Amino acid sequence: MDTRSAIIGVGYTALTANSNLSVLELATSAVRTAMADAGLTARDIDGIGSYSLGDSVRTQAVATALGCESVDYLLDLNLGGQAPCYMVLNADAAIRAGMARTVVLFRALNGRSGIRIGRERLPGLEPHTATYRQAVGLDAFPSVVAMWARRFMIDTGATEEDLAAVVMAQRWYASNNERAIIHEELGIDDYFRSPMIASPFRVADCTREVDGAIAIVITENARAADAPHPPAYLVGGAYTGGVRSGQDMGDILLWDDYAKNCMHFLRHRLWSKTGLTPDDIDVAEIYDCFSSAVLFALEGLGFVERGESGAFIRAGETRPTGRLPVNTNGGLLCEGYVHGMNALAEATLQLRGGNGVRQVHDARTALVTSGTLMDGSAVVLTRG
Amino acid sequence: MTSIDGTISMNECTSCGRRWQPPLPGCPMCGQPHVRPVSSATRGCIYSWVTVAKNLGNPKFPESHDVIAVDLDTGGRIFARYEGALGVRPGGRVWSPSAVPRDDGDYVFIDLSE
Repeated sequence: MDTRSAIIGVGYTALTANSNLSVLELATSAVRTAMADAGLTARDIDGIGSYSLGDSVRTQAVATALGCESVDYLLDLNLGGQAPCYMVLNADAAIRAGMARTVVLFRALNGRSGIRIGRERLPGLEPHTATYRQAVGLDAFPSVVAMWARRFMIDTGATEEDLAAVVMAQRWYASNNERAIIHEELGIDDYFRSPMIASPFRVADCTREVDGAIAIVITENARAADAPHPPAYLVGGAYTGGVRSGQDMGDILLWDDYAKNCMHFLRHRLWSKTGLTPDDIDVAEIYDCFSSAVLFALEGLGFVERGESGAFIRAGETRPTGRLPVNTNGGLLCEGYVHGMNALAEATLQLRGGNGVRQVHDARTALVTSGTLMDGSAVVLTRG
Repeated sequence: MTSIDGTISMNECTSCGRRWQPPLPGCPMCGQPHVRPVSSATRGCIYSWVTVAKNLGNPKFPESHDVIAVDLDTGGRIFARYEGALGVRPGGRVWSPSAVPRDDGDYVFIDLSE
């Protein structure tokens, strides 16, 4: 298949509850690790991109900390979980336009000990849209996304057992991932003992905020073959901006149908741009700030029919030997909320192979998604 | 946002007539720039809901409580707290009587049959 740029490096910091480091230190550390993984130094990097919601550092500062001598492409996106795959598409566009040859993308935050996601107000609005949710107690992300999950359950017949199945499947992967911050497997009784936090979400349905950073290195196709590890080549992808959104996080007062998120609206462009179908995907790393996001994505992208995602997961189809292994690092639910960069990194590692018992056998093509509300993005990667 | 007579301030497009709540300098449905404030009756149907646990979110709400998304009969969707006796359910008919007005967006709705 035709491919474009390629991911050749991955870098993580420790993912913890309190890093005792500045966000700049975290970002720089993850980027250095990713560069080393790619066999590169700062001299080889001529582009840096990142995204944040007022809780991170500028790419320019990281370039300075790295001692980059020539940076020709910088991108600071004011976006959240919808951004990681969109960043890859932007970096690829920049590379193919000749603006840069090798770009490092990172997300860094002290998401647990510093600024916590969900309570910010987007600038430039008065009176602020957030007023309308905060006034009735919709302050935190779980309660906003729960509105979507509830309507999805009403319209599709999904149940709490389906949410449990998502969590239990991912807990198995997490129990075999040394980076996961939650390692314990979970049984159905354990799931229903987990405290309800914003119905239908229990604590077990929610990602955990963490301090940390993840970076990836993306370079031009021709250069990727020289990398120390097998590259993850970009086949293509798509982004959707989400109609009538952008005034607030979880901006749902103007979103008509809470049972369909961005993945539904990405579907046709994603498959037409990649020339692939859901049957071509060997492994999927799906953005999962909450368990319901996996159900939305499986149905929205056409892996299963409407209302069938729960049965698909309960039948074990997202486990290692299933038809579509999903979130092989345990997902954001278990690895921690680095705002979706986890998924890109894990997909790259899966395509390289050698991830122990959680390695998907002969994984050649991986889907990665970003976002679970109005706007989002997705890419397909292949090991070539 | 809610006046003493139990109405809710909304925005209405003078071109297409559709209503919404967050203020915008144009209609998000048809893009026309002419918008006027209107008072909407509070009757509507429950579209979705969440029971927010007592330990999550705003300290103003120390106990767990139901928050509903309400599709108003006169158009537009709002968030409100639900304090009805029948319990939240999809399509449930609700309203906010003048007995419980709020002026800060903290709307309280009960079952329409009460």
